[in-house]
Amino acid sequence: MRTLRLMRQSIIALGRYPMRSFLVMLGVIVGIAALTVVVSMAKATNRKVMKRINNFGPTTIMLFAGGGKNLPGVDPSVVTLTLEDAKAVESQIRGVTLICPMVIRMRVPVIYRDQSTEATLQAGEVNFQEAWDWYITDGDFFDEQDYSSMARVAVIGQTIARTLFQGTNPVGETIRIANANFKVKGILSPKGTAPAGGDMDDRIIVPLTTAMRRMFNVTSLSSVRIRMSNPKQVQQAAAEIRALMRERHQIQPPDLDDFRVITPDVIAGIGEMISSTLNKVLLAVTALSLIVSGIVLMNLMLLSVSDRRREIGLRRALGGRRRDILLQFLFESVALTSMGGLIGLVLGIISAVVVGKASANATMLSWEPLALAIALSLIVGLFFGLAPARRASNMPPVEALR
Amino acid sequence: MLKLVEITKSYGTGAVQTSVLRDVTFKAEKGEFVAIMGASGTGKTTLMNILGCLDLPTSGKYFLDGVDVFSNNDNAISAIRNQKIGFVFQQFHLLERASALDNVLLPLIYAEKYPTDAVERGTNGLRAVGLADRILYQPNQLSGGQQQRVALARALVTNPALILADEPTGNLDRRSGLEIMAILQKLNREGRTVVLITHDRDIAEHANRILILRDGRIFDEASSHTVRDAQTELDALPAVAAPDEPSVKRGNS
Repeated sequence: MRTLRLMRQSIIALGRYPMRSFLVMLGVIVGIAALTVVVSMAKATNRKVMKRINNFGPTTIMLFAGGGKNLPGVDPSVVTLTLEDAKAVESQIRGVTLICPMVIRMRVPVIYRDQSTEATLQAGEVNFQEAWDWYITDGDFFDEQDYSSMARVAVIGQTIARTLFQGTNPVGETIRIANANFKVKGILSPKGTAPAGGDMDDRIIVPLTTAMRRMFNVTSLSSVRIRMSNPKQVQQAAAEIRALMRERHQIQPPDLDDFRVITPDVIAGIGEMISSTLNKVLLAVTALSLIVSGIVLMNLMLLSVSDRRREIGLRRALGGRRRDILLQFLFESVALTSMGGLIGLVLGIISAVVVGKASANATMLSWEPLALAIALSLIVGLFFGLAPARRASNMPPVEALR
Repeated sequence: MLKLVEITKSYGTGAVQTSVLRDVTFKAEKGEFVAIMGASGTGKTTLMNILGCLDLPTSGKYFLDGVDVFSNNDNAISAIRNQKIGFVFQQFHLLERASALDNVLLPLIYAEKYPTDAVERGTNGLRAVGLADRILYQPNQLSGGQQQRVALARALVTNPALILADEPTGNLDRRSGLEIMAILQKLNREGRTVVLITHDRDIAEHANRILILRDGRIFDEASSHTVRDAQTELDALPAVAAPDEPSVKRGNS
């Protein structure tokens, strides 16, 4: 094919000017390398957010007692959220598949023989496992019998098991939770970090009835976990829940909510600003170096065109059409920028790995930088290579051969 | 074969017009060897550019191998150059840092269809001009005479109807120049049409017919001269050890 033959001519021509070729590539190399790092970091952030949403549950809505803007800590002094509220949500909001009302206490002392630690106590209903998508690995979860009899039984997280039992089997053992004996019924599977940060495996789960009546003697809840059948219903349901709660708690404007409705969207927003400054700096480096390299490319190619006047004239004399000359010089530009892009991509991947290892900014390799590198280097080559290529192709053969 | 009809070429506009060519009209039949002779400033280069379809005349017509050249667009004229004309320039115009073979194959890049036997054709062409052992040499590893022979092989690779040689011996010593002329004469005897442009009477007399260009007008001398034979002249030159060795050190290829 004529085009392929012209491409070959371009590559051969580039070999004749190695220094120039390298200078043009340099800018593209820097630009694409910076871009690759940015995209890798953005990907990592994105994955972190996705993981957080999945951890939280994409069909989950959390209703917390107490107002305010921040992610909820647990404040036992807020007593406005009740079991009746939870029941109302279950019966009046469409699409709710289950609710799990909970009482939560932080930093509850737990003792087993001579080992002690602090746990997050989470009292829930029998449907806790489904509500949290969080299942036991060992022993049993508490059942209806335990629930209705307000039994002193507990299911413990991995961190608690490890800290208190140090390798021995906790199931069936008795631990002291807030100065009362509880029998360990089961152990939860590892869950990792909570959406708001913090270890989720330091939890102890007890029946809600036990917590409300036997341990703390309260009638109010800390939170209600609500599951929808479909992630698309979440936003609508969250608005309805809010309206329902305001009505039930008789809150009129301008009074603020005495509860918080947390959806996966809210969770996703946390920490998204992390490393965005670095991203901006690197993006600026990318844009700047690509523009600079484009301008360098254009000037060096213009220089090349006037240096190679006679070659152009010769090619025209031997039958090269204007288009053939245009294509040859465009190919030269594009070949340079794509080579620079590829080298930059390799350097960028290496840098991303190094940055990921050596700093707090996580990076993640993916196909996007590859696609971006190819696209951007082609665009720079085509855009800035066009003027020199046009000049070459418009050179009259007679002038060129003189 | 080729026919120029009242070709005029002027430069400048309005009052300050300079005519370089005035009503140039002549014909060359297929298989002819025509020299166009003229001192510098007589419009030789301009005529050569028009014959080579590199420049457009101000007026007049040019028929080459049955085609009215200047009634075509730029692309078609490029194709005419590619298919019908083999150029030989005074300055050789070879691509540096490209092998003799790659230089010879250059016109084929712009051919409608790249021949499958291109390399073979190029190799044969170089063999025909006595450079079989220099196929992969680059121009700077070749003497002037050898470079011009590469250019000749390049001119022939598309099998053109017309060989257009512009002062082909201008940059060469006498022996190398005669070698080029001998090849041109041989090609002409094989039936190719050759148009030679020169200021040098001795060179022009190798052609069967000489046209004189004077003040932009053409005068046909018909065939009043004795045609020189380059090979005979070469044989008459005192023997030299290795006439074609370039002075530069030659790399291995």
